[in-house]
Order: sequence, then C-alpha cells, then structure tokens
Amino acid sequence: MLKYIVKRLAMGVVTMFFLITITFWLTRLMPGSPFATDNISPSVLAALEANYGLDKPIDQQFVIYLQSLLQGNLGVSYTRTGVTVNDLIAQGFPVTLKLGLISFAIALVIGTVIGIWMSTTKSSAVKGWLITGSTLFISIPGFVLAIVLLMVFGQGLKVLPVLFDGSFLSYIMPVLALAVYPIAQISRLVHASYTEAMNQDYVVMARAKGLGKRRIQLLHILKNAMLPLITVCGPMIAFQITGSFVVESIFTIPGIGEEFVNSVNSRDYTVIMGLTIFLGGVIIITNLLSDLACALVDPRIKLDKAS
Amino acid sequence: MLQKSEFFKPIDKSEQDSEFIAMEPHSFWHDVWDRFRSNRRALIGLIVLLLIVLLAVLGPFFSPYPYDGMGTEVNRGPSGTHWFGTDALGRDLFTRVLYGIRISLFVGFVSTLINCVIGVLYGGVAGYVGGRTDAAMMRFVDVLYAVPSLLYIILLMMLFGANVGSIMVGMCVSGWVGIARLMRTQVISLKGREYVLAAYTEGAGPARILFKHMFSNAMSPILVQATLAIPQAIFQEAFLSFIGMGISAPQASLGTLAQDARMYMAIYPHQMICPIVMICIIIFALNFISEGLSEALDPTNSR
Repeated sequence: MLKYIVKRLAMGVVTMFFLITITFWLTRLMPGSPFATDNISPSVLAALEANYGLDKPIDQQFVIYLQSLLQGNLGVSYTRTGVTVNDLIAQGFPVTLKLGLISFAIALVIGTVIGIWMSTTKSSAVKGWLITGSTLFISIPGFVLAIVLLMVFGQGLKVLPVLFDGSFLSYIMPVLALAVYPIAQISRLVHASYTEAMNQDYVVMARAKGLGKRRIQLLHILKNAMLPLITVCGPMIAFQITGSFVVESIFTIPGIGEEFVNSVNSRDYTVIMGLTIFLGGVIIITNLLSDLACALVDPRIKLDKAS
Repeated sequence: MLQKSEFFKPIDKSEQDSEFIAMEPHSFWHDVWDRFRSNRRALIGLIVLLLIVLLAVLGPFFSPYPYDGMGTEVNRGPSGTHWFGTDALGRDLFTRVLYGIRISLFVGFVSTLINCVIGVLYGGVAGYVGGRTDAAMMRFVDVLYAVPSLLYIILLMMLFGANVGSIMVGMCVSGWVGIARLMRTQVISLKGREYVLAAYTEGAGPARILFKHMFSNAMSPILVQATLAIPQAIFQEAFLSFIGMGISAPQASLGTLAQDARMYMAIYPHQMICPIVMICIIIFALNFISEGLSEALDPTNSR
C-alpha cells in the first residue's frame, strides 16, 4: 500500500514538472515581446524586458521561474502592471470553488438518485426515457445550456437575474449549467454499477435473510455501487473547472475561469501560464487524491493498477 | 416373403433434415448491423447524422450565397430568401451554418482517425513488446493522461494561430492516449491465444500478428471508444471557438458562430439558436450511434 502511494505521488510530481515545462516553453515560443507595441522605443523595451528578467538566456529564465514557483509565486501580469497571478487566484478561486462544489454536490445527489431509479424501475418506458434523457443532456455542451438558460429565464421570462451578484437567485442558473452534465454522467455510472451490484450473491443472501428493501438498497447495493464514483471524481472536478470558463464568462461571475478567458483574449501570456499551471495542478492533485481514496477504500485496486 | 414391398416403407427424408440450420451463415459484421438496426435510438441517430452530412457536403453547392459574402441586408430574421436569416455583416446564416457543420464534422472525424492510428500503433507496440519498453512507454502515457489537455490546446492555439490545423494538432497531442491504453490491454490479453501461436509457428512476423490477427480481434472496444471520441472532439472544438480560441474569420465553425452571436443575443436570438441547436443535434446523434454500436458489438453489455 505504502509503495503504491509513494509511486503515485512520484507520478504526480513528474506530471506537474511536465506541465510546467510544456507551459513555460510554449509561452516563450509565442511570437513577439510581451511589451512590443507600435509606439515604444527600443531602449524602453529593453529596460522593461530587463525589469522582468526577459533579457537573460531562456534556460536561466526557466530555472528562475521554477524557483519562484517553488516559493509559491506564479508570476506577474505583463499587460496589467502590479497585478500578480497570485492576486488573481486569491480573488477568483474561492468564487469558482464555491460554485464548483455546490454544483458538484447537487450533481452527486441527484445523479445517484436518478441512477438508482433507472436501475430499479420496473417500467421499461420510464427506463427508456431516463436513458434517452441522460444521453440528451450529455450531448448538450455547457455553454449551450448556459446560453439557453440565460435566454429563457434571464431575458425571456425575466425571473432570474442576468448578471451575477452573489445572491441566491443569481446562483441558480450557473449552478444548473454546471450541474446538468455531471448529473447525466453520474446517473449513467450509478446505473451501470448499481445494476451489477444488484445481482450479486450477497444481495440475494440479504434478501433471503429477510432484510428490508431500503436497507438492502442503501447498505448492500449502493455502498458497493458507489466505488466507481470515487474514480471519476477527479476527472469530474477537471470538467467543472473547464466548464467554469464558459459559465463564468457568460454569467459574468468574477471567478478564475472568467479571468482565464479574459487573459486568453487579451493575450496576457504570463497570466495564462500561471493560471494554466495552477489549474493543471489542481486537476492533477484531485486526480491523485481520488486514486488514493480508491486504493484505500478498495484494496483490490493497488494490485492491478500498480503494475 | 420379407422382400414384399408392403413390409417396407421408404424412410421419411424430412426427418433427417430437421436439424438442418436453415439460417444463412452470417458474418460478424452482419450480426452487428442486425443488432444495431434493431436499436431504434441508434438507427435514428445514424439517419440524422447521414442527413446532416449530406446537407453539409451538398448544401453549399445549391446555396446562392457564399459563406463569406457580405450583403446590405444586415441582421435579418429567418425568411424565404435567407432561411436562417443574416448576421451582422449581412452574411447568409444558413450557408455559414452549413460550412460550420463541415468544419465541426471534419475536426471530429479526422482528429479521431489520427488519434486512433497513433493509439493503435503505440498501444500495440507497447503491449506486444512488453517488459521494460512497455513500462517506459506506459509511464509516458500516464503523464500525458494526467495533464489536462484543454489547457495546452489553448496554448498551442495561441502559438500556431486560430485555424483548423492548430486545433487538430492540439487534439492529437494527447487524444490518442485513451486508445493506446485500450489497445495495449487488448494485445496483452490476446497474446496467449492459440491463433496467435498458430500464426507465429507459421512464420508470421510481429507486424502481421499484431495488425492482422490481434487488431481485428481488438477492434470492437476500440471502435466504441472512437465513436465516443468524435462527439468529444466536436464538443471541444465548439468550446474553444466559443471562448474565442477557435477558427478565425471569415471561416467559422458552429462554435464561432455562437460566439459571434453572443453580442446580439438579446436582440437577434435566432443567430444564436441556429448554430447551437445544430451542435446539439450532431453530438446527440453521434452519442446515440456510439451507444447502439457498443451494444451491437458486445451484446452481453446491453443496458
């Protein structure tokens, strides 16, 4: 077990390094100096570049960048003076995190309930509609859903605020836009694993012992059916983060996703680099945690996964 | 006495044939098609997709407007002359949607095809060779898998410019990883089969064993994975275009069209609705097809 954890952690570190290296070199390959505009004199340009350490050889810059990363410093914005990436993260990430966690929690509950409903319903019509519905909602890209919600409830019916102001009502649409895809995905996953667990011997045994229906459903089936869910938590969080890019920019939520899209559009390379590394790191760490949680809950995993 | 004919009756031949199997021998793909056809959702998906492909391929030839032809009729609503109306520059939206479908489908299918080829080669070699080579190759795959692809696709797009080519490059950097993992596990499990041994004793080279014998047996799960990857690629392209990182003007994918319409969303909602409905229909159809295909290829896996 310890060996697996150490191995998995080492993998995480290597992946992180890979991400940083790729991001750094790709950003440095971008054409032109970040300060080059039409009306700038060569001497000012040189002074600015020296100020940001851009006059040094590129491999030296990489080492400096790595060192500052180790100190938790993700760099400064080149287009907005005095703004550091750390500031942007400190401002935006709590908002994004709150939104992501709320929608993920909702998706987890509703998805699980629908998944169980799919597997236990005796009516094939209901089952057919549920499966069709889940395919339908998996097929709708997040930004499409967000726009449709905005058009219908924000502009058409005018029941929900179009602009995000942090109030309860303004949370409804973004949370919905972020939660629908995971609901569909989780319900399919729960359906598959629940159906499998339903036919296991220990369920027959529990029924033979005369245990109640609810007790069997929750304690015997669901507990085992939830295992695959832990594995997908990592990728789901990654999805929530990329989903937040569009949802935040559509609903003008001051989160990290909107910041990312803005800096992409204004070509603010260092902010993009810093945010990429930060978000990539978050995703890598959640993947790591979900893998470790899986190995802890189900000891069978480390045997075939560690090989 | 015994030779008298009334004591003997000819045997009823029909009984001999009673165990004859009258069904025509079916090939594997014939069975798959039969099972696929009996799935209503999958069949509808296939028909819808074929119609859309037909429309996207042939439509522009019949359309009187070029996709980048601007006009004086700006921001018109849907009418007889402009089916989906016109955009802010007076371009015919129907024609632009048709071209958008072309680009979206092209990105989806071609990037998936490239990913499949790379993945099958990489995974096949890793699984077949095994040992340290396999371990080293799979470590690399693990690293690529863990890095969120969308982030460096965005960086690549900024580096190479916003066009179809750079989107493809971005998607192919890590898109093959899933297929490679699948192919590797398949090859490892097929390694010990008798027919592989038979091919080996007959003197077949590793390339022939791997790609003729093993690949044809590993194809079903890879095909299912590939049909899932197509809508994902279309999804990603639409997403990138929507956040302003996609195909640049005057060309437009469905995502770009949606992005363009965002500014005027409140005033001219039809400019937004047409492209996004089209994206949904395409992804919807592809998802149904992939669902049907996975059930048809592996009947034990029916949901």
